[in-house]
Amino acid sequence: MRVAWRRDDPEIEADAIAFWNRIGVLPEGVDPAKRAKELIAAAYKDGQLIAVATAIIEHVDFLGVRMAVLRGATDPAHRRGHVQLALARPSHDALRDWALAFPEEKLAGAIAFVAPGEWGDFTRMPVWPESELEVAGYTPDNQQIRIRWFDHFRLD
Amino acid sequence: MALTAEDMAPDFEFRPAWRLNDPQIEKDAVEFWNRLGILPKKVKPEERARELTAVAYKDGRIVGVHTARLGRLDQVRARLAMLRSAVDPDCRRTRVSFALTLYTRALLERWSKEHPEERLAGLGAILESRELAGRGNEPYWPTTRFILAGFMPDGRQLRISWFEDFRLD
Repeated sequence: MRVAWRRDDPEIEADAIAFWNRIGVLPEGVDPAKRAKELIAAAYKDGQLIAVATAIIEHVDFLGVRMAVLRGATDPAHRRGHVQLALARPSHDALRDWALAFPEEKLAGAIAFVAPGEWGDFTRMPVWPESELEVAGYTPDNQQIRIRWFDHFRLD
Repeated sequence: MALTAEDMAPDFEFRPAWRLNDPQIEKDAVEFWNRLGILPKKVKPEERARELTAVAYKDGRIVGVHTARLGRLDQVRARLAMLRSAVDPDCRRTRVSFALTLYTRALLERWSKEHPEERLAGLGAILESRELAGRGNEPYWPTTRFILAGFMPDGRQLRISWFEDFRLD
């Protein structure tokens, strides 16, 4: 596991771009170099990057705070492993540490939108292990909304 | 070891009431509500007493009650026990309400496991600022596992505490 959040690490960014190009998961129009700036952490196996977690920071209207909107991508050859689970803890810690270091950013926690069927039976767990992302609602197009607040954060 | 209600508020005696139809506790709770005059006029104390989850006694009389009504919360597509809390004003700085929440959570989580057909997924609460005693700005309460999950149109907080072993539909 290698943390990448706001580190501008050229090696991890290059590996991530190669990974996205290799598995072809980025939607058309998304600039891989720009997405690489959103990296939180990357998982490597045998020297090859096999999964990434990325985030952008957005205002979440229904909670009235700024949160890191999480995305994940895993090499299809490793989807049955628990790579994203393993990324969860270092990703959380990296974002939390950054939020503590930059209180002016008022980053309250993390939020993930989970498409139906994407995680199978895992979506039946109201609280996910490792990431501790908890169900807080559903979008109109049936995606689960999961959130995790940072322990230190206080509302205005 | 997990913190218990008794650890948190050792000067009080906590008693379960959920679905026990205990006439003594119900009578004491009605007396408590009448003494404090806190129930809305349209609410019959005897009916509210049927919703008791747990109570706190001190010196032989009830000083705190928790009640719950089971219902589906559309926002999370799950059946939750929506909690209400009332504490004698003389005891408001004693953490008894917080301790009762801990007690009720353990009680209802156990009941949910024993009655899987009830599909009870966790606890919910709609909280006014006066009920939060300075803790309303903490979006996560680790001891009771309540998270802030949104706001009502009138600004009250919606909080949820999932039972972790529950599985959603």
